[in-house]
Amino acid sequence: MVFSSQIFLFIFLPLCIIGAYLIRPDFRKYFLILASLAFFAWTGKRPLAIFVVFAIVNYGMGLLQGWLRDDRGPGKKIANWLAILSNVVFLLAFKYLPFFTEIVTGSTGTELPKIELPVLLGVSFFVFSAISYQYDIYYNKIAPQKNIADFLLYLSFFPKLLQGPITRAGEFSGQLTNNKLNLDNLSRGVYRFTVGLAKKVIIADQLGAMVDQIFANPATANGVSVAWLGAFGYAMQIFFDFSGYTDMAIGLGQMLGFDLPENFNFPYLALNISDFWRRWHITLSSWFRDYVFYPLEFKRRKQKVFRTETNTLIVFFLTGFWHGAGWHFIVWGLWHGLFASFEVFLRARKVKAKAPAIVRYLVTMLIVLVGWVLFRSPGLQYGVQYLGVMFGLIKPLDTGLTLTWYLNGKIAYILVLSILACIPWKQLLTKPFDKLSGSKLHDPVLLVAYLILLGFSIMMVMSSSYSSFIYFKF
Amino acid sequence: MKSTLFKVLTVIVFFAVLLLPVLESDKIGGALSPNENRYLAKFPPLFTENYNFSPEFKSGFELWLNDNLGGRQKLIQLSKTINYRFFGELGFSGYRVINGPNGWLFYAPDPEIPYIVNSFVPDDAVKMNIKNSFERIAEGLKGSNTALVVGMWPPKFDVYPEELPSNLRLVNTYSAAEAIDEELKNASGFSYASPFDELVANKSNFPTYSRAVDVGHWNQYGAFIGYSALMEAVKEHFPALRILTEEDFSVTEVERELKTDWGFASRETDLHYEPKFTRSAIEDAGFFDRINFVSKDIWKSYRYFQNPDTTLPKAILVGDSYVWQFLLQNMAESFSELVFIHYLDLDQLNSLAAVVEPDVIMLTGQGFPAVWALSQVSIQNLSAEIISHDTPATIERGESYNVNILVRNTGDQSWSEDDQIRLCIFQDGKDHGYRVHLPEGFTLEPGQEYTFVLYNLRAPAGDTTFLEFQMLQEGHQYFGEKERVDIVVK
Repeated sequence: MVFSSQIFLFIFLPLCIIGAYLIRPDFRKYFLILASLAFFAWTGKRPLAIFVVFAIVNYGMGLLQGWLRDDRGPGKKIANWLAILSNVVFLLAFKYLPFFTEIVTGSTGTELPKIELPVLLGVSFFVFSAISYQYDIYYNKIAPQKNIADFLLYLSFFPKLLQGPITRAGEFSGQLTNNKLNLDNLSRGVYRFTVGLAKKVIIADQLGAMVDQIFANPATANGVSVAWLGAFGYAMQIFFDFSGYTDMAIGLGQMLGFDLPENFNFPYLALNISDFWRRWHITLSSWFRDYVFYPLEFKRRKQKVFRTETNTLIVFFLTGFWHGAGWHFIVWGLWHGLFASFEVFLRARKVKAKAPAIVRYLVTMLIVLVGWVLFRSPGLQYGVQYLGVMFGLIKPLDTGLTLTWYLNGKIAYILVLSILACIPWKQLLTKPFDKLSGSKLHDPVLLVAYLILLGFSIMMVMSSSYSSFIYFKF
Repeated sequence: MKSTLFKVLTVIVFFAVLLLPVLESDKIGGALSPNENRYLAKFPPLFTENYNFSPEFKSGFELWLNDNLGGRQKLIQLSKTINYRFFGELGFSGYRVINGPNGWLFYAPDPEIPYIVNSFVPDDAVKMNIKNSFERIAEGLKGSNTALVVGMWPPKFDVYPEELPSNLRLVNTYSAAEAIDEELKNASGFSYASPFDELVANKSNFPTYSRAVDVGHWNQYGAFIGYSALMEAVKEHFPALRILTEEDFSVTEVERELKTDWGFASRETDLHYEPKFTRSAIEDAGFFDRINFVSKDIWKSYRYFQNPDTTLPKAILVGDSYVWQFLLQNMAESFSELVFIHYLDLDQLNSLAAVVEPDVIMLTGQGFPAVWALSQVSIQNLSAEIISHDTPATIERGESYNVNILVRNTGDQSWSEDDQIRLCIFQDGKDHGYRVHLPEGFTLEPGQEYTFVLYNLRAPAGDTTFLEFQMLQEGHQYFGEKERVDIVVK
């Protein structure tokens, strides 16, 4: 169930929120678990059964680790390894099996038996939540969750289940006992959700239609300007799609009395790649930092040469691979990793960038844009060819479709809107915003903005179901 | 927000916006949506006939919800109005329509783009393939004394390339349709109807295609040029053929109008052809039911016309909306029987030909893709005669009978199980799947006879029944004579 789908917006969301407010507080947790499982069950009965087993196994392994907490022998370590390894194997099996099968078949020519596993939506997210839970228990950052309902809610909480933000058990469980449903949270959540919905349906989906057209063409069948438009359009689409989803998730969390972590902080203002990853998908970057990078740094602490650089590269390799089972995702990760490692190398040698901020900004955005092309492409070869066209290294075919074929008035307007929405106006125009904040107009202005966004978003959602029956061609 | 009032307002508006459309939804569904030209989804049944939970309920419920939320039509209209007023979007959602600088509209879905901008032009091998294929078809039809006429209707964008929007640039000045047109003009063995040049030449007198009322078709004037070209090509085989001319009609100018509920509107002048004569051809709507015609044509555009003058030639016309929306009535005047099928039903051509035994087959279509598809049809002369059978006129309950059916291959193709040629037994007018197969490895050559044996015929539940025997090519066509026998059950 997608947050911007009609079934979610018009049925699930109101039922869930109203239900949560009407139900007795001591039953609310169970109500939310049921709602979350129903949300997941919309993808199918088998995925739900697998998810429940996955949660129970992780709950049990957490208890085992807690039981072995004071163990002086290898038991504690073995239990932790078992817990983390089983989660990794689960993720590899459900997300990467076809990819590995393809590699083995391609390199050895041996046809492996096909194992059809059901698609588990959000598997990368809930497995990472489970790994962080097991890891934090091992390092005594948190106590194992004794109440299975609390653990199940942490893992299955529907606002963050399918696309994050990736939450830590410590942050989430603390809110279970202090869960407050009140008008403040509800109105904040409603506002945030509406902003997210608007980002998704007014900006991301509209740009997505144009981007899909461009990337549906053969890589060399777009002219240079069209290829650049596709890359830029996708950069905006993915940001507003993902940050819109995060806003909706955070908004839903607020409506239900939970504060979920932020995931974005104006990433398209970054001045270098490390800065970009501090602003983009923050919960994933911090997860890799805490559970991969720091442990690697510690393990390899005796290695003095290129340690942090290679660890950075490893983290970015894993980041790329986490995003999808395909070489283009891995190369995308390594592409970012290459520059992030180089920045680490320069910082270690106290080399300061002398280029003006605008140059650093443009170079960073160029790197990001190139990365997005690889990310969006259906495969690595396509991505390389597409980039070849963008940079004039490959002569594109003449398809007769000019830039304005794709860049019509509406797309131009949305692109401008998206650029404006990437700017932190509140930070830039502190005085007027402060003035507004202190005035009587503050609430009416916010209400009008909210009504416009909500009205337009609902109109777009309903219009997306318009499908006419083509007849006259024939 | 700081004020409680505004917080309450925010929450109330939010839930009102989400709940009201559900409360106002059409709970039953299934209404006709004229703008979308389709029926909206119905509310799905929760249980199957066996009182099990329906596995289709979930997807059906989503479809129903998406289609039937309260205010949906109004919001769609508002969205289209905004898109049209502010961004000039034409609003023909579901398919792309583009508009040129002078307001000409063109149907332009993605697959059409290479033909619109001429980025695809067939090479010599493709052109030769099409020409040779039609020549082969014409040669095959000679055995049954049937003439072949091919017609290509040029697409609107090829006749009016100057009216295309400037964001499309023609890659070649020569279009795929023009390339095929040139090639087929020099073909032999069949006649070729080519209104291309005339449609272009005449557009300076009067538009030959609709400017902005119809996004893809010619207008009545252009259609008449197309009719004349096709009939001239048929006349090469039937010199006495009657072709209607403008003198047969009183031609007047009429206004055509397109109005949409989102604000887009256009008007244009077309010609109206009012016949001065009394039409003699009569449409027979039951023809296709009688021959068990199995169609893939979602518009059910197939038509059958009969003319009292049985000396006129019989014709099968394959085409598209350029034909069935514009030409059929006039064409029917010149044939004793005229059968029109859409080219989506091209695989039915052989069985239809076996029933109609036409004097001429006309294969027509718009532009290169249609002509290419038409050229790939394989004409098979499958024909059969039921010579005799020994079906008992009376059968007793509980008894079983063997029936011998002697069939002759009267076509020019051999029959075998490999080609899935079988005898079909209809019961009470329905094909329930009863088949009698030819032995594996056996081939029945043209002119030869074979006795099919239907084993263990048993009495059905009722007091009477009837069987029909007819040959068929499984999955493609029934063919040949159909023999009926009535049976009384004791």
